[in-house]
Amino acid sequence: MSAPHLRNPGDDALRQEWDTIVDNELRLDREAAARVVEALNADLSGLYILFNQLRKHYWTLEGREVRPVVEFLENAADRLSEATDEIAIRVHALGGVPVNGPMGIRQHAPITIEGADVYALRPSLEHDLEAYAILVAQLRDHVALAQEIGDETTVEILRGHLRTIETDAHDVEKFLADDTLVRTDD
Amino acid sequence: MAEPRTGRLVRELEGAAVRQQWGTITENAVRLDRDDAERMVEALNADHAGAFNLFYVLRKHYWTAEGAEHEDVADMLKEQYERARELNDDLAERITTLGGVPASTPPTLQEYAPVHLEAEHHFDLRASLEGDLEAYATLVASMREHVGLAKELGDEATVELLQDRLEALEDDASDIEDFLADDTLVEGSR
Repeated sequence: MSAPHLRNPGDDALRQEWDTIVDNELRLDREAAARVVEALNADLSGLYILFNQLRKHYWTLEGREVRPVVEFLENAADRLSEATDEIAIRVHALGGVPVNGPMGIRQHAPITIEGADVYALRPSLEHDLEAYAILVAQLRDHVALAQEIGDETTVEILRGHLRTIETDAHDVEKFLADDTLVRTDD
Repeated sequence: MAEPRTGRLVRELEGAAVRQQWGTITENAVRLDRDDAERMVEALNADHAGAFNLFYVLRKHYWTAEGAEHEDVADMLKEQYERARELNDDLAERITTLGGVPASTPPTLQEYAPVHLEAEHHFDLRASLEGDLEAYATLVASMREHVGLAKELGDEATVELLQDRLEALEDDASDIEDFLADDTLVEGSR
């Protein structure tokens, strides 16, 4: 990834450096909080990548007689966005800095980013399904981790989104099983 | 735990048929000739990538403002990042209508974006909002220039889209300006 020019407001405005953890007001000890933050940042990185992948797919599928797929992807991206917001705010509450740029995304990435070319519909959706599967497995692991640490709020947040994301993964699977998509469209 | 990755993060989709390559133009249904469409797509990809980055910085600031209980600012930023995402979607759609491919990977987006992302630390709210304002100003200037180009090329639908969104962007920028003029933010929380 090329190193983009990043705007830096300078040390005077710096409140907390990336990849650090400060004390939280949630009575979770710093070490336990650090483990949860690490896990949640990996989720944020994966959510970011999949969110943009879904968007790429609905942008480039637009107008190709695949209205239901486009609509589904737009709504599924919305749901990933809601999960991202809630998890990022949780990271902040735990005393961490949520993944918010190329460096953090790379450091924590559980999946790779799809190239810039436009691919055929079916392999695009297969790629979405693959990303969903990895993300779901990871979220499940992180529910277990948060449980072990006794961070009930994080357990609750992840569980809620896990259910939504599993349902969406299943819907992608159903699109792929659909006859009209089995035939190639060009 | 998380080892920084060293390999390439962006990968081609192996074995998948490429329907259209990044950076190419196909015939479009809107009867713009191909050279003109190419110029317009090039310009719109800059606005698209700029809107993409604006969306991300606004959202980053929403996360931390929300946590810090600056409720009014958080509410404003949430609405604004949602509008930035819609703009981003609309520009991507216009690019595909013109026969182009919208930028979608970090390298292609950062190559085109006139609006810069922020360093990945957490900065105070005032500095964050100042950055947002600068991002709005940069995107507005870019889009305004492209209204001129779209007019020159006779691409009226793009003129309409850009002009319509410019108005909303200017309103959002002015709301941030109002917050920056507010005393409690001038005092700072450090």
